Amino acid sequence: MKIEVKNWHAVASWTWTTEDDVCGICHMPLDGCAPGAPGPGDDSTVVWGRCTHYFHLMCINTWLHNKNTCPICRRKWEFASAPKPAPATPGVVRNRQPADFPTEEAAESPDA
Amino acid sequence: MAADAAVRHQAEHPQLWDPSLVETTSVWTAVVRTIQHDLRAALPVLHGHAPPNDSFVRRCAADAALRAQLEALRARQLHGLLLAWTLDTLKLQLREHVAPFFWSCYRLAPHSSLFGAMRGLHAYMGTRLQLMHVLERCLWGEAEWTERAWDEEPWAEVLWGEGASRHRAAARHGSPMAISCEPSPVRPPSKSPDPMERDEPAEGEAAAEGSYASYELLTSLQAVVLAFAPEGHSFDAWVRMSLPWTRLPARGDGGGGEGGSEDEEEGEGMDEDLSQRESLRRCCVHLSELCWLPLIEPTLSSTLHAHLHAKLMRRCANQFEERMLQGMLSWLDAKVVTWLRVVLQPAAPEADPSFMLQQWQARLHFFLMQSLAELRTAELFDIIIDYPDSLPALSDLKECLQHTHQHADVVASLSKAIDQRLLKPGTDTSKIIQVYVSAIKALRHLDPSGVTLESVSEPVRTYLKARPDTIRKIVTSLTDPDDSAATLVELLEPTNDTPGGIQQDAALEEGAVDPDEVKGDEAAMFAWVADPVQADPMRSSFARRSSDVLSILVNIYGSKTLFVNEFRSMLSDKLIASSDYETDKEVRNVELLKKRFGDEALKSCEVMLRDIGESKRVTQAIHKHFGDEECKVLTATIVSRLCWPTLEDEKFELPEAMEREMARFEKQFMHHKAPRKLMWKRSLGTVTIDVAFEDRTVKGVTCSPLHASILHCFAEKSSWSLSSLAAHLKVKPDALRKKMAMWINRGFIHEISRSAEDTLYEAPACLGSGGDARHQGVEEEEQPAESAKDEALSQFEAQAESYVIGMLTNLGTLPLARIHNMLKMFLSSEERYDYSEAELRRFLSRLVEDGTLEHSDGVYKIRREG
Ligand SMILES: [Zn+2]
Ligand SMILES: [Zn+2]
Repeated sequence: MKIEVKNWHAVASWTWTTEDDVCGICHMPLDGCAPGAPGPGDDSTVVWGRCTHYFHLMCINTWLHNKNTCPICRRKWEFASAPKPAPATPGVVRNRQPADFPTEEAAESPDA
Repeated sequence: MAADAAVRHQAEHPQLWDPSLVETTSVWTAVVRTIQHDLRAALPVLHGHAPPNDSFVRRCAADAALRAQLEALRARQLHGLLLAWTLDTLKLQLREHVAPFFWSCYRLAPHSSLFGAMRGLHAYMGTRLQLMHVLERCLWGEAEWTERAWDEEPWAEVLWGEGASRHRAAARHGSPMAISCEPSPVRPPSKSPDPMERDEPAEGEAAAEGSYASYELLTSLQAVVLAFAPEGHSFDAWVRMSLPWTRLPARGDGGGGEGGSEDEEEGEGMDEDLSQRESLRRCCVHLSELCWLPLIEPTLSSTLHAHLHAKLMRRCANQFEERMLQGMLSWLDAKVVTWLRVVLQPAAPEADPSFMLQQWQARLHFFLMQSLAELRTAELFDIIIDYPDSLPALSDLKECLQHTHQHADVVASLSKAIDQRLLKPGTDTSKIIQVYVSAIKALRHLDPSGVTLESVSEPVRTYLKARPDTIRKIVTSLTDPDDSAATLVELLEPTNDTPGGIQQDAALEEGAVDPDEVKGDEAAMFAWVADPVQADPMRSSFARRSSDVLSILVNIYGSKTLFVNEFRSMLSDKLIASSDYETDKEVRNVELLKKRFGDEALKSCEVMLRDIGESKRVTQAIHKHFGDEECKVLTATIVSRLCWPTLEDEKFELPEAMEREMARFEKQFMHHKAPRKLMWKRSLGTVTIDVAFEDRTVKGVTCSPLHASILHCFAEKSSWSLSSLAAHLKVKPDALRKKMAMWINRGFIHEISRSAEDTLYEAPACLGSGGDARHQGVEEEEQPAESAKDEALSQFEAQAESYVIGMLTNLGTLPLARIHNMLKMFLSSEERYDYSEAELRRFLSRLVEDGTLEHSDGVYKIRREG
């Protein structure tokens, strides 16, 4: 018996790469919606400060109307760029029969 | 004889006889003899003979000497005694001759003799009443009599009823007989030997003149004749079998041979030909003149009711698509009431209806409406099922109820029908919902106050609430027009006839104030109708009258939150199970629901749909980044987990190549959507594979990732034990065994041996020629989302399996049908065994396949080792 995978439709969830999962201002999950936002994720972006604290963009913006400090460490707030990992290498060398599942010995060979 | 004795006495004791006593005695004797003769001579009148020419009445008119004798008796104050004697003698005659005559007619021909008997009775009584009348008048003296006013007689009204006025008028003008003592104004009834052919005594004559004596006589006649009925028989029964209305009604039902044509049916005894009607009229004149109409009224009433009822059942039962009430009422007026005129006012059927007739008509109308209401009430459950085709029947019922007020019966009967026919474990939930929705609409129409609906709703709502799949079924029917309960789809569309549906939902939801009270709308104030007294005072009439059907359904759960949550979980199942990013239909459904429940309630559903679109974009971007063909095998749905229902995940070992592919997808995602990362739900999703054997290839098999991983293991190595496979995949053996079932069932993997410790599986080199459908797996699609259901199912199957094995161990061999019946018996109570025979055959063939059973010659048995 041989099998050939035509499509593997997987399911995943995303999460912000943060240690804490709650916004320090609104105390709502960072993965959820910021107050008043139409949705999570792109609609409730999370931003980092130079002090490495992070909040919902909407929450820190509202906060900055009054104060110019980080709500947690009280240092002056300055936006920092979020951590961004490197892209995956395209065109990775794969098995001899790339689209197939390796059968027998092929499964053992390393992929890079 | 008294007179002879007197003569003897005079001869023996002459001194005791003074001349005046002697004269009085001889006058008395002469008069009494004349009357006795008359009494005897009148009896043949019963049998249709003419009254004799020498009747007392005629002799009175012709014979001055007789009048003088009567005058003499009156002068001696003996007139009272003479009247009393005459009356007593007459009563004796009634008992000894008249009553026996009357009932002998019945004995001879019970079905055809009533008219003749009544005719004889009437004619005879005419002569007797006249006799009494003349006698009375002669004895009281003319002047004295004419001064007596009819109206002063206390019994006149009772005796004659509304006819009294007629008699009063006759008395006032003085009938010829009253003045002149002319011979019988009852025309001699003897022109022809057949009583039916003869003229009638004209109205009012026989019993025309009221007096104590005639009243007494009529009363005795009734009492004596009725008391004389043969044992076990009655006048009612005679009337029932004699009058023409009885010939045609319900009795014909059994035959059905009438051809059922409407014209024929309309005949029904109300339309007999003229001669029949005339003889009926005459008979009723007899009854009326003898004051016997009240006697037949109960029979008349019960027979007509039976007739109406039978007609109603024939015409209306199970006929819901046509209004019946008006037609039936017109028929009643045109046929029955017209006929009744002949019976109840036979003297003048064409005259304006008498008060009594009007009462009869009103009673019959009421009876008809009551009967139709009862019929429709009994049929209400079926009417609801047929809604809206059955609207005419509902309108009829509504109209009837306005007159008869049988609402409580409607509630009781419908509640019972619902309990007996709908709220059964075997009834599909969507069917219950469908009927409930029809009931809501139908009862709204029937009773706009909402009270009836409210009263029958509660058990349905409680029952639906207890069913686990109710919300799902409601949501399915709302969003999936292909599904059974298509009636619900329209409920989503904003309706014009329920103004302010959305706001109203919101108001109900928040428990807001009754809009009736808030808006000072004048029109609404004037349109206000009081709630019926049965209304539950705890509920506002606004809620009862106007909440729309969907709100009613949603409110089974007290709030829309549960409802929306269920929708969300169904949406989730659907989205996770699909792999093509197609959401058009779901987007439409969410838009529809938003109109009803508001944007906020469906916010997370919107996020879910946006997630699908975003997943597609991200997947395409990642595919583009890699640029190779291999990466396109992996596609992903990436969810915003907090907006989705919890997605259960099971850990297990994916094929290594897949693990690698997912790793690089994940890495690129972290770059693409920084600073975010992915968390795979390895057990969720859908895999499409082609499975190749030496003899052939099965294309496009879809399965869960775990199933694909299992097959992948067998592609690597064709033989596995359960324990080693479980260890390799890092899943529990029990769970794995259940998953194996699908591949075994499709013939992709065979169970080679089974022992207490382990099971050995092997992938065959060739698939062989098993049923193609089975290999394609069309009937056995296994949805990951339904894993809980699978679990329950396989648990059930495990139990069924142990029953089957137990059965066959004990009984040796059994055919399919026996096994089916025994399972039904043993499993139905606890586990709900609901396999059809075909399903059972499939289940058993699986047991045959995995070596538990053998199947040959149409019977199943346990496979023996070796
Ligand atoms: Zn926040
Ligand atoms: Zn800080």
